[in-house]
Amino acid sequence: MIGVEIIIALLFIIPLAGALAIPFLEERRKSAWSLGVILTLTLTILSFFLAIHTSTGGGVDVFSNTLHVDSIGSLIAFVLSLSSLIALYGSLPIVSEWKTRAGFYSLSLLMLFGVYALIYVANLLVILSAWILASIASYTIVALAKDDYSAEGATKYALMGSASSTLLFLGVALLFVISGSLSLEPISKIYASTLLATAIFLIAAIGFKMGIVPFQAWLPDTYGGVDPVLISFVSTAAKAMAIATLYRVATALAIGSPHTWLILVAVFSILTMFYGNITALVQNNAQRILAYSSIAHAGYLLIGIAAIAPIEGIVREWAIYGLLLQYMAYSLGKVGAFLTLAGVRKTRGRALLEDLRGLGRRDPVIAVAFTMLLLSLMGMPPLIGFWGKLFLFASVAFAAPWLTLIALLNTAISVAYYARIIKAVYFEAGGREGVVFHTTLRQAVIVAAILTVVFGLGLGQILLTLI
Amino acid sequence: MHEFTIAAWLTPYIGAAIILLLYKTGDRVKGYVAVLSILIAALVSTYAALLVHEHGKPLYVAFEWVESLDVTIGAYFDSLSSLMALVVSWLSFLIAVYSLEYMGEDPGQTRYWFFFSFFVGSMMLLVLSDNLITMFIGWEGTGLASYALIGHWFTDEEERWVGDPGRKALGIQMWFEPSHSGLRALVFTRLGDVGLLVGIAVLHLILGSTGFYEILEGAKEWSSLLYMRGLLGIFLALFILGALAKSAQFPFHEWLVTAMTGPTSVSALIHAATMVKAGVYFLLRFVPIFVVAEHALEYLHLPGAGIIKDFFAYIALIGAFTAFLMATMAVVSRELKLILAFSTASQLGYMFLGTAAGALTGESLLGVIAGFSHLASHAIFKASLFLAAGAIIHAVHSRFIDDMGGLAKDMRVTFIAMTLAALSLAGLPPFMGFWSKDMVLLAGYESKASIPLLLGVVTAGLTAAYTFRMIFRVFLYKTSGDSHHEHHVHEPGKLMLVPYTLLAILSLLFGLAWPFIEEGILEWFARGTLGIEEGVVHIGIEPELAAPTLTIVFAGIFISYYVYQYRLATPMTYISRNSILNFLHKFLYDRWFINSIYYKVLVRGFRTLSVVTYKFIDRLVVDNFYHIFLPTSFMRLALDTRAKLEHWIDEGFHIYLVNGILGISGRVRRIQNGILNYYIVMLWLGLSIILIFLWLLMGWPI
Repeated sequence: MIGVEIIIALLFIIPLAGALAIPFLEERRKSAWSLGVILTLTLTILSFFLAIHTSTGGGVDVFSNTLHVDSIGSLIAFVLSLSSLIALYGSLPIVSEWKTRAGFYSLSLLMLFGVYALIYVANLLVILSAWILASIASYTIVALAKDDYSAEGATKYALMGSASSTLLFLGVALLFVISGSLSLEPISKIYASTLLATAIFLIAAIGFKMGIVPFQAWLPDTYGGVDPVLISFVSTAAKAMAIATLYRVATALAIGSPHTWLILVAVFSILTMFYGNITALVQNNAQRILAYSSIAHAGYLLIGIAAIAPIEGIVREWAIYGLLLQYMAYSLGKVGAFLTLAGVRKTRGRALLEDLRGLGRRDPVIAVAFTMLLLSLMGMPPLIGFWGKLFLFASVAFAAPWLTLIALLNTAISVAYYARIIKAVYFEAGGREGVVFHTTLRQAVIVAAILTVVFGLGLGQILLTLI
Repeated sequence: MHEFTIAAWLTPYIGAAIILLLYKTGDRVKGYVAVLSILIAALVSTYAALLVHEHGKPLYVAFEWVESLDVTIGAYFDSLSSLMALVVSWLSFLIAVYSLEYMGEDPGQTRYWFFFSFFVGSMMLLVLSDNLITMFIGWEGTGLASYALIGHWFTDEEERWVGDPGRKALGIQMWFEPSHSGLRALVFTRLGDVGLLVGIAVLHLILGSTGFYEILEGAKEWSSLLYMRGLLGIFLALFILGALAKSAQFPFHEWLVTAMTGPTSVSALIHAATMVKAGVYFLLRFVPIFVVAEHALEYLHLPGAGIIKDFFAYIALIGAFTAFLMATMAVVSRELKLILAFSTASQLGYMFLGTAAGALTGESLLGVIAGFSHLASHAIFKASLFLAAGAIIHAVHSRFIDDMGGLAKDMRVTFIAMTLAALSLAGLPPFMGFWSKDMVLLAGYESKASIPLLLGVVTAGLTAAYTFRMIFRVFLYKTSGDSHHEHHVHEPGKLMLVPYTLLAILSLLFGLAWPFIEEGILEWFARGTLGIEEGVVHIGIEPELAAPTLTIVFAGIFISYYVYQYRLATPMTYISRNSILNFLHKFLYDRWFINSIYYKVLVRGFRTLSVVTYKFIDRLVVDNFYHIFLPTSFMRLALDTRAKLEHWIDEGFHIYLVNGILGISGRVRRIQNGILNYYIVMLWLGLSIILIFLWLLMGWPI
């Protein structure tokens, strides 16, 4: 039996070694950059193994208590690795034409390394170092396309990112002052005012990464403008990073003053959902619609974070199930959808709604897969996105029925813009030239769609038994 | 042992998957796969219904699915669901056969048959579910298929539109393309589903399960708990919202009208016979449970029982109002499919009225029988009417009844079939529609719900009037200048003709048989429906009620006959001369301006909100603040700092340092001290400001 520490060590060593080796290897062998995909596959298998390994018991502390390895963390790591694998595999044909291809795979692995650390984090210093590592990697990845959009997106992302990192330092420092220790433990005795300040700093800094309103300003320009092939990876990794870190912070902070926590996070959640969904309605750029839908999904996920607060009536177990399944729906959906748009943009130079016209006739397989992913993001049963939302929204239905109602209303609003994309794919005539999807990109989108269906039909439930 | 009965909903899904895999093969094959898979489903449901009849108890198969939510998937055949499954599966089968010919030339075969089979699978899943979650999955599946099929002719040719091109009401356009209509249907019905999902979540939180049986057993628990928290009324209102939207009841009725842009076979199947009945079925399923809850609250001496009674009264009123509202629109409509669509929503209103009013008597049995009978009879005759209408529109190449007229001699069988079905819709004895409508009104009569009953009786007259207006205008009435259809009009082929003729004959046969099977049906429902306990219910003709209803029905038919057949009048010339009548006509023709109001208030409102959020927050605040103000201020700050710093550094290195080296020590000491002092002051000042802020904001930390 291999100990948890060794698997965890492998989970860190493999991406780090890969990240450092790939640029050097490429000097010798031209195709060395594709090593990144193989390493991500290894990581996927490892994280799944870890998830099974940690499914019983309350988790173990490793590396002098700086990391806390538990089942929910391992499952998020598994979903992250799986969707990163799909994203990296699907981006092969497009990225291979760039000079910066080695950098993409190297930085992706580096970012994964940082995010893995954040998923299991139990120490304040690790939060800071891993956060900076993953953040810098993500800013650089966005810049890799080396065009105007990339320049704009990366600059905004990095500028806002450095500002928000300052807040993270402040928040972590406050956390240290309150708890008097470097380890991230539940803090029960805390003044509501101190909690409020700490929580606001931390939510602002961490939530910035997934586009929580009012820290979302960079997201529409970055996710909506930069080459979608990069966004397919960054969006899923950044969401994992934010949601896992927020989850860890929430377990530490929410106990002290649960009602304040619930209200505070719920307010952020409501703002984020409404902003994302309503603004998406008038966009004509499919990629921008998906960018705004990313904001809306950040709002849905925040409900799960709000429900970490130990209040009577909240079903915390469901909130955790919901976080996992909704994260899975989000990452599979976004990876596949952004990859599809990357294929469209490769041919057309852009991905407006009108560029999707006629896709349903010319490439029915991709069209069906794309539609499945959108339906899952929309929350159509029995796809994975439905279960995620069901668990998330139901977890607070008794303690905060208004939040459930607002969230459901938002999903009703969101139907309109997802349906506009589907309408463009199937129900609008036009589209002169065909869009050619490269083989691996096609396979990646199809796999994402199949997983969305299969996990929705029952595999997701099996995953839940591992928690 | 009876596990195979899940094939009743599984085979159409499998059929849909096969059709998708066959997308490269010939078009005929896809149709046959769909028809065959639906036939298997129909045969399995028949077998299951026979078993239920034989054993006299529900047939129940379940597999564990989502353990953490206590959700099972399987098939639950009780008296209600087995009959419903029969209606759905056999009608789907007949309409699929009709589609083989009707859609034969269409280029979008894969899409059509895939969504057709997918729809049937979802509908059967909805009907045969034993819990709310799987029911909701079927529910959403039917909505999705409906969206796709309404927009089937997405090329938006004018021939497929609904409404008069160019017409506006209150400045809002009143014609609708298929792709727009599909979106409308999806958004309208999803709004209602929000309420339904809240209801599901609440029940699950209280009971730990959404099984129908558990909800029945826990009726006392959830009703009293919700009442104690003051949530019972809100819960009921939200829970039923999905059903109201799905069954196109006021104020959600608008989507059904424009759903007529889909192929007529789809209108017959989804928007007349089955999917729009899902809301009624939901009500039929839950009214017995609500009645049990009401009795439980009464037993506990809680005033909550009154809330449930009020709830039934409101539902009855909404149903009756919808029936009346839609009937008035049907009277003036010029499009054949629209007349039938208005009529469908109107008849659905009757079903809500019957079911809810029946429950007002304190027993659910009468309402359930009334609601279900009208559901079944309407499914049969309305499917027949729609399928015949499809054949007519196909033959005449126009959807307007103005372009028809005098078709009886060219389409004799269609004429007879449609007249039989129309007699049933108008509610004439001995047709099936007479008995079921009478039951609905009887439920209103027994429960002494006077306003709904009155609306129901008036609607019966309107129904007869518009039904026969349609028959006369399409088949008989022929004005002198009427020669729109130069091309030869002929009967459709057998695959189309047989299904609707058969259905029309069935509506007569069931009507003839009704007095003999009435008692059997009563017993069937009383014995094996979830939540219904055997009660004493009187069903049959109530002369006090039947006499005025029949009188008003005959009056309606007579007026139509007099105006359109005897006088061959064109009422529009008369109406347009009188300004009041003209306004009334416009009011009815533009659907009480409800659509315009929705668009003006809701759609435009949301659009404006979205544009404003986007423009204001994204473009103004974000762009200016984050992208212009912050960067420029940072830039300025950086420039200033650099300028100053460099200045100092320049001076320091190049002048003072040099000078210092040169030995002018006094000057150096002064400047060095100055910089140091400045830094220290800065540090203390900054820290103090932050500390004061902290102190002001949240008291002294720790």
